[in-house]
Amino acid sequence: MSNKGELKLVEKEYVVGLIALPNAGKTTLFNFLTGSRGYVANWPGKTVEVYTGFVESDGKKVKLIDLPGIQSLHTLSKEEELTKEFILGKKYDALVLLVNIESLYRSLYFVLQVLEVTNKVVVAVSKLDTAASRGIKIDVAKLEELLRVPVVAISSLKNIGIKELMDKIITVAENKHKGKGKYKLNYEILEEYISKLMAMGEERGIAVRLIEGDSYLLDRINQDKRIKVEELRKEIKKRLGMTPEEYIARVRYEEVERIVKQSVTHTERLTKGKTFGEKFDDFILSNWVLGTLTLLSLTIAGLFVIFAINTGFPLNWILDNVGLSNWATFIENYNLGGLISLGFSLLGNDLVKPLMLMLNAPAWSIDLVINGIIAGISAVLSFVPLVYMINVFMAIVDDSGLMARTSVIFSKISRIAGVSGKTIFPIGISIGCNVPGVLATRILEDDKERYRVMLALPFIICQARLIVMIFMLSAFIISPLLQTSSMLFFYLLSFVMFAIAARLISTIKTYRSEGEELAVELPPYHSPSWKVVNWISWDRSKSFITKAGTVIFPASIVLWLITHIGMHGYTTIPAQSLGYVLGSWVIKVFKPMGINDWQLGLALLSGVMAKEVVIESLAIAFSTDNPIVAVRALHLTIPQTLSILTFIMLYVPCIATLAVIYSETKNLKFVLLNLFTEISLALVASYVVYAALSLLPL
Amino acid sequence: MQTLAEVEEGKSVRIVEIMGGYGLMSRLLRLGIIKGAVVSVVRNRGPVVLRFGDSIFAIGRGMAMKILVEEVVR
Repeated sequence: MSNKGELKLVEKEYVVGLIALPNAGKTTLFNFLTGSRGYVANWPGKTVEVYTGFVESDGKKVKLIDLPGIQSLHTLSKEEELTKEFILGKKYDALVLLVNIESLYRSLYFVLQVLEVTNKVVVAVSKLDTAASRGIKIDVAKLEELLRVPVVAISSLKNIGIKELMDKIITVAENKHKGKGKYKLNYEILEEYISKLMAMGEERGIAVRLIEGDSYLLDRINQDKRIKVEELRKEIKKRLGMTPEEYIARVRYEEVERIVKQSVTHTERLTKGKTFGEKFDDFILSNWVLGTLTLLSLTIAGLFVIFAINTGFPLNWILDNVGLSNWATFIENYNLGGLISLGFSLLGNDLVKPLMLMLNAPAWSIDLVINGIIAGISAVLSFVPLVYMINVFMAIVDDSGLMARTSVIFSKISRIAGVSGKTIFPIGISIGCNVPGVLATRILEDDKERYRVMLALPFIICQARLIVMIFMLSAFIISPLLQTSSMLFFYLLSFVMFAIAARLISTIKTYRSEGEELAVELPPYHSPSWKVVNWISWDRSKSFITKAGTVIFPASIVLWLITHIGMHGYTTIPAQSLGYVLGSWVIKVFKPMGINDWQLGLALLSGVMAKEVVIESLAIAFSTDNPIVAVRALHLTIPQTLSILTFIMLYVPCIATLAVIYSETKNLKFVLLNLFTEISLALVASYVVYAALSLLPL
Repeated sequence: MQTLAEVEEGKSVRIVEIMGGYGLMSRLLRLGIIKGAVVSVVRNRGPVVLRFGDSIFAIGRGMAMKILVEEVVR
């Protein structure tokens, strides 16, 4: 590679797709080849982000596209589908298939699937050294001979084979590879059916995929052909006594086995006895209770540190309870999120406000700039360090191999909600904050499952809601026992609601997936590369600012308008604002419980922005500086308190959560479904709580 | 004939039948677990841990009970 930045006349830019199964080290390779000067953009017409970078080799320019990881051409998510579309679309000069030697069988199966469609392929084999230590040796020349496309052994971290890889990419792109013709797998009995489809003008590779029942391709051929394909598939099933996809898979696996037998030798393992990873696996997998406790404590410890740094929670709470309230206050004020808010508040009140006053700006514009615009920017930016650190945490867990183990261990509990064990991460993160929790659903491979989790996740009580809970409980409930048991009740309720919501949504066909049961690969443990982890995390955080930020910011302006605009224009008195009208309207829902204060209605409405605002908004509405006075002004009974708290704990977490759900799905209908589910379930639960408590002598 | 969930740890078996819908089949197919494949059972307490080729997989017990296998004599 020459990256000296000299201006040369480049004859042509070759388009090359980089494709790999999970855990093959694709990001490392891409990063290494492009010198992390890639850029990320949504794929045209898709909501999937794809990295693109440029590499120059011997004066030839290569546009390298880092496609989403794929398990197999039987796709489950929109990411995998994009990669498949790219492969089938053939708008490239070459494909690099990065093969993970740790799961050689599946990797080769995938390579065969791709080779059926195109031979513009270079196979790169990584992690040879780790395989060698496990006694697995691969004959690269033999593999090249069998697959009939170039095969290169590489290590991006050690810069081995990279130049050769680039040379081979150019060779393939320029159609100069001298192989022994195109790779062709003999499907025996199926050959006559394949020929029939080929006679109808389909390429062999596509014909095979059609017989396999590839729904993506079936949706894209004309009616007549589709009927013909279905006929053939039925005929095959009758003749073979098994589905064509089963038969094809079997033929391919037999071929994989033949290839492995000829090109791989198993020798003595270099490391005698069990490795640390294997011993650890023995420990966590053999005893469910021990395994759960171990992985749970690791997860909690990681998240504890991250949230304590960013929000102070739950360290402040612990410190407060052991009598170190000075320390608790310190942490509450000087965590990363707090410092960012402090910075913006200083900027607004000590810099912008005096400046605007000096320029004789009208009062409403000062208020809008400080409490609308600057507060909005602050709301977006205060999330960034948290989102970044959560991404680092998730990348480490994923890259190290711990994620797969967690999936296994927690599947026993998570099955109650019909989701996979990995969901423990989005849930755990959501207890701190729902926003990064929603982002963490990216670890779920199945899109349908991801939607189910995203719908249920907002029921998990976050830190902001905990603050409201503590405030209201201490204002209206004197008994510490009742306070504590109420808190426990709300957390339990939130998990139950999570399960109910996840189950409810799977009654809608679009969000139901079969086989939600556990089936995962346990890759060997790795120590993650800091460079890669940082790169992924930083990039995701940047996309959070641009994507979610553009929704959070205008929403905070709208909320400012509601509370500051009334019949007679700009006002600082809430009772004269639009908020009064809306607040009185919202609170009608709670009439059956005897709650009529418009101030609470307005607070609930403001709570859509962020839950911290609920108490603050009450204080403003009751025109007091003391939030406890404001809350007590509501004069709620115990059943009323617990019932309204049930509602606050469960209805819409905050606009930022809805914003990330939208930016992750780009599906407004789904966001509305989310909103509807949250509000209706919250209402039902709060009615039930009120009715049940009214029967008790409290 | 037994199900995968009943196989003793350390034994190798060949998959004879997968009794499940398309969803189950395709999940297993993604992992390479198909009819005729020979897998060895590494651990059989809770989820069933399998070795297939060079990879290790874990599948749920419910799923394992839907997979019929026969023992392979080495």
